Amino acid sequence: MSLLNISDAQARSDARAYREKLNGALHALANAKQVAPGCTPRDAVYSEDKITLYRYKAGEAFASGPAILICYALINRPSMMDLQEDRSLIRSLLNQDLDVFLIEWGSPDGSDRYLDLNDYVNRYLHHCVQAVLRIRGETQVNLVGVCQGGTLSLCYTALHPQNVKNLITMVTPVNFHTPNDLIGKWVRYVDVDTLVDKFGNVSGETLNGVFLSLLPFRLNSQKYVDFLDIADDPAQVENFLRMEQWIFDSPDNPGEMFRQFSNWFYKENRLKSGTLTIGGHSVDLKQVTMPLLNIYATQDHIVPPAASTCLQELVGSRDYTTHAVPSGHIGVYVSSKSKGLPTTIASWLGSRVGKKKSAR
Amino acid sequence: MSDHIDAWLAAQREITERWFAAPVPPVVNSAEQTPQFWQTIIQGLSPQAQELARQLAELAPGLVSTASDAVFELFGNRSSPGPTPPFARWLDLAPVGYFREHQAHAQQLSRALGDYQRIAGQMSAAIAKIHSDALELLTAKVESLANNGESVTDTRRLYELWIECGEQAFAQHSRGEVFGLLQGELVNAGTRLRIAQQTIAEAFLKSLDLPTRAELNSTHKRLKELRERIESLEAAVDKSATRSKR
Repeated sequence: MSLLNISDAQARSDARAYREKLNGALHALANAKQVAPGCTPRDAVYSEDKITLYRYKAGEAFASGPAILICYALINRPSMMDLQEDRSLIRSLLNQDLDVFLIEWGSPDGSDRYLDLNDYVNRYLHHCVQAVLRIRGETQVNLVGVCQGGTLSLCYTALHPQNVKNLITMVTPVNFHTPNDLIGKWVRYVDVDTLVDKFGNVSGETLNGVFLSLLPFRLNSQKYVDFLDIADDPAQVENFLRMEQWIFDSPDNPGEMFRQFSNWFYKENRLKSGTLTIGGHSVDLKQVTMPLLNIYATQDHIVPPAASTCLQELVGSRDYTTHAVPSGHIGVYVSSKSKGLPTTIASWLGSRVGKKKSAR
Repeated sequence: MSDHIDAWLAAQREITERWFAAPVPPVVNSAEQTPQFWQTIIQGLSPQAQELARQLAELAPGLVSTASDAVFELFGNRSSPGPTPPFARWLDLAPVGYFREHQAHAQQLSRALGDYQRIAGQMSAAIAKIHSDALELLTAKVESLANNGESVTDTRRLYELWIECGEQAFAQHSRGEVFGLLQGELVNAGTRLRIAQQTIAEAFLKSLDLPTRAELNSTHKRLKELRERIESLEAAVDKSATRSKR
């Protein structure tokens, strides 16, 4: 019995069609416009070392509603949140009249290799919070932590709860030892101390390699074969190239920060077990007593849902809400399935601005 | 005298050919072709010293050959087949002498390179296994479709099925302890190789009085410590100023 029902003529015809598509794709790449993620106007309102705090504009002015401070991961750039006009979470948040501030961590180099968790949480993030409070004339901030930035935000909030009015975490890992966490499984066998001692910063390229190897067939092959199908549409080619630039334009991770994050979070799961200390102070998630919205992606292969949803059991907040987005890790920002997310965030926040925090 | 030099040269060639297990083209064929440097030394000797040199030259082939046999025995024949890589035992020798440090660095690099190649080979085998499992899964899937009257009729469909099976096979392997361990070992071996390369590069840079990564690290570390001390002093001053205002 023949398993395949593909005739020689059919195979030749398919090959011809793909050769034409490939030609078209090469032509499209040769003629593609320069694209870059990031589309919403913004002002730099604070900077320190290589980090910059931006405030986004809604048209000509800043939004008049409640302020949110977005703390993104150190891996990849936050431009994913403002990829292009029709795929911009930041723009959608501005449309909800939220005054959006965002921290860009910059591109660490060899001189930053000793920056550690304490620097990021108690120095940079803390100074950005103070800058937002100064600008807004307020005493508390609404903090939005994204991915690793969510983990940092949780640490910050636990250490400085008086500064945070509401906390929103998006695709944030909390339990690093869940069964489907492939990165967690792999990093356990890596001698991170020696790696950091000798390599210093861990390059963005290395980290990109790790992320690609999580779904090697899809991310290294299928994605580019699929591109052939859209190569005749200049708008889709631009979208594709913008995404490619975002994926591969990854900053290096400061060595000490990488060491502590890998060892303390991935290997030892200290945040969940309550044994994490930063700058000599214990990070106790029970101190997170303010309203908390935890957003996770149901098909996330980088931060599995279970890694995120365990947060409810660990924090002290009685006003805890979860919101599931039926997408993957990146889809939370750009997928059509997450279109309602800005409204969810704005309405959740709107109903809590002005409310007093309630502790367990 | 030249007869002895010729004999000595012949002995050297024979030893070299034993080492390489193949004919080796001679660099110098006869006493007449010996470098000017040696000829100058020999011609400048007193008659007694020339006699001593002549007697030594008579002994040389035997001495060198015996010494060479000892070395040969220690390291093994380069061309001999077997699991022990050529010069493997050289890696175990404690480095000695004026070039001790360079020997140690070179040994470290050779060991690290060997380790990395070995583990990279194991990783290649693991990846090959994933691909072969993916093909087995694909065969089963295509067969099942054919049995249900849904034969694959175009190459794109076949490709999509292969991707699906590939990810499935990868997921099965990559979530196991063995793959994780191998991946970790490969990264660790890569780190050790990098350390060995860096050691040699740093020694070279130092010899040229150029800055090294280690020097920069020390400077950056001191700067960070200094900044933290200043911040701590500033905080103490602020605290004290606030107290005195009260």
